Amino acid sequence: MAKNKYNKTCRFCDDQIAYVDYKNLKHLRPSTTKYAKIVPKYYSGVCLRHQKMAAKAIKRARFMALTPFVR
Amino acid sequence: MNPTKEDTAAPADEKVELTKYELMVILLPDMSQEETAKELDKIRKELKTLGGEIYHEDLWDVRDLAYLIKKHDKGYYAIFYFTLENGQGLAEMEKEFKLNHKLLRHLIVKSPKNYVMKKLEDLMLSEEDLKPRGRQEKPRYAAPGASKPSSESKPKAEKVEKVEEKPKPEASEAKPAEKVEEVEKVEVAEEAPKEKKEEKAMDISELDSKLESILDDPDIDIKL
Repeated sequence: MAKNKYNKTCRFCDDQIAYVDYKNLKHLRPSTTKYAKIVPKYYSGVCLRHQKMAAKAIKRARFMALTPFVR
Repeated sequence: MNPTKEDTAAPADEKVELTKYELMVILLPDMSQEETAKELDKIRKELKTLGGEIYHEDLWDVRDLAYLIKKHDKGYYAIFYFTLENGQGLAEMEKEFKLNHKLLRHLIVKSPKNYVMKKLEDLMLSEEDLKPRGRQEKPRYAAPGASKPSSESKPKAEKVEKVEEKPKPEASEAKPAEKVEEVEKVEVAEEAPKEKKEEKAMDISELDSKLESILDDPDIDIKL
């Protein structure tokens, strides 16, 4: 079924990623907007389980100055 | 950090599974190599006194920070991967970290059991990653495009309104020509505004014919 009108699938599930690492900016970058905000899952189509992991990883990366809080 | 309860839950097992932790540290960037080595040694000793075993180290060297920390725009990153039976001593260790002015930031995270360590180049963004930013921006650009038809529909509606407005001034121009006869009709029109347009369309043709008849009438003198 179409999750949203673009019928997206979770990109973490597609790549079979079990754990979103806060150090891995390649995973985190597509989950953030160009203003470094976390993309909601109704835009990105990421499943809830991975969205929670990604959100936590982004917040950890922000604290360690790997990604900015705002841009 | 929360102490793990896995050890207490499974004491009867032959080998108690040690929980994996990782400690990321940002040191001051402007220290000499000896000083940084000293600080790193301190951290290693503290981990060992807690009973932890460091099974891997990652020294990322000086990197740019994403934002200023205590007016530093760079920092020396180091990561220690270690195992601990229980994390009870970690809180005390963190207190010492907070008092240490040479440590800008530190973060202790429980890593998953089947955690695969990666090299720095695989983790960080390359120049190619920075280019195709459009993956998220595509829907953004599509959004204004989708709103275009709605913006186009608005002027159409305005045009329709303008067309409707046009007959009114014509009617008002025709009115002063014959004031006496119009007065009654205007009052009727004000009471029923919806019927206005139809009546006026009728009125104009009637008025034109009347005007012509009056102008053609030789008995009436009109000075133009």
